[in-house]
Amino acid sequence: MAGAGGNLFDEIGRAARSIDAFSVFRVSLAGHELEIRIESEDLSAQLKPAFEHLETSQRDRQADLTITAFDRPPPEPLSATHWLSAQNHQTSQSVRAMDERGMLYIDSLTGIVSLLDAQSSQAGVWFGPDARVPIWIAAAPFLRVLDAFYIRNGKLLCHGAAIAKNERAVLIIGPGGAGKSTLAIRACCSGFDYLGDDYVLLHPSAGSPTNVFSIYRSGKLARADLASAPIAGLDIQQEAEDPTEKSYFLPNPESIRLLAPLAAIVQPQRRLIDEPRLLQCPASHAIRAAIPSVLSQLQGCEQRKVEILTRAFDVPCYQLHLSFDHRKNIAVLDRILGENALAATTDI
Amino acid sequence: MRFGVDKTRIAHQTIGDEAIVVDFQMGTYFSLRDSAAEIWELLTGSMPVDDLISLYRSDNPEQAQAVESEIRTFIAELVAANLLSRDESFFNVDPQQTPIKRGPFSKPLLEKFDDMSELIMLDPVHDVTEHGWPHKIG
Repeated sequence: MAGAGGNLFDEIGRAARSIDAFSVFRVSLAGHELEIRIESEDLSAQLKPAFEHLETSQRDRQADLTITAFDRPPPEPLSATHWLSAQNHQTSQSVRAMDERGMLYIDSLTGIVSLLDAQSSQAGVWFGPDARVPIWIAAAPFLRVLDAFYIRNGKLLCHGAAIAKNERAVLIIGPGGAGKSTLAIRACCSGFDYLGDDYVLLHPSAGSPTNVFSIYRSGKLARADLASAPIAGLDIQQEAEDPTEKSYFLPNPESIRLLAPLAAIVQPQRRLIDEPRLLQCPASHAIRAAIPSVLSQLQGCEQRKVEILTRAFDVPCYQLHLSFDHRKNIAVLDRILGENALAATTDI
Repeated sequence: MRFGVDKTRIAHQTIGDEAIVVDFQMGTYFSLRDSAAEIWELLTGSMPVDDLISLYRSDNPEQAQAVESEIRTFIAELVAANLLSRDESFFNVDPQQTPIKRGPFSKPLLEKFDDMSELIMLDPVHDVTEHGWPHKIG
């Protein structure tokens, strides 16, 4: 493995040295300094907006991780067709390899190749030439690399939305289509702070609440959702061509919050009833609801992820049956994060 | 006889009186409560099955035979579900030193949920060799 992996890892530095990056910037995320280098103007325009809220001018120490984004195909040793794994690739299955040193991910759907070398603190992501990055990638760039890097540092990249008020955050979990983004975005437009609508970083620490960190400034909403009840002030970056797909937008920068302590977990369920219903549930129920999407969205290091998830979920957990009236749903979130402890409608 | 957990397929964690066990290759999730969670903790801490059964027999002298039978059935279910392995390489070499609190014995049950499997099939990912890295053709 060392031989094969070592050769692969060498490709990051070799490729990075061969380009003159158009855009180089630093972001500070959960105590780590990341340097991001993007090869071309076109790629930078697509990827950089998601990180603008994390940008820092500090360069007083070496970056903890340097990520280089290439506007070209991966070098030959990283081509899927070069490996026995091509059989998986040709049947539209992604290829992942991971060990203590690093991670390789070849995405069958987009052709994007991500490689992390934790030993040299370098990562490379090859998007292909003239890449028109899909909406879900532009809204969450370098997802695989960040997941593999942060889990090695005791932090979990969690599939879920998060909002905050009164210095406390709610994590909104559930499978795709559960209403996470809609709830988070509408809350953000009603005075809540926004940490993310699809992925956030969780960092439990002994003796203090788990911190929730914003990773991406971006968000995604279904066109149908936006059409049924428009939300003012959203900066739409890419509108989905298909009405069933999601559009990519940037929330108002003033509503972005970088970090908040976790106070509660909410699992929304689309019931479209008159009055929203809040049910308190045991942490194990919430963990069971979160695990499928957390583990299936970003695979690898599952034991560590389950450990972090169970530590983070040591807060009140609720199911929220959503009303068709968005204002009433937001009012429930307001009660959860209010000054006084909340009594749920029913325990389950 | 001892058992271990194949961590390339199984993740587990105990919270309070419930052990959560996830087979992330098959997309199945198991909930083990009360005595089932205790037994899981003891087995994955490398306690030999005979020692574990002696422990529960001595805790429940009046129902010793029934308790042993229920534990053996439960262990067989864990093995059949591929949650426990007899492979020595998976044995826990650094078991938790804290003694596991045992409550009143209740019939150990393995509750299975398979709502993860559909999600995993949406995004299939395959490790390409047993060591993780691809092998070059030829």
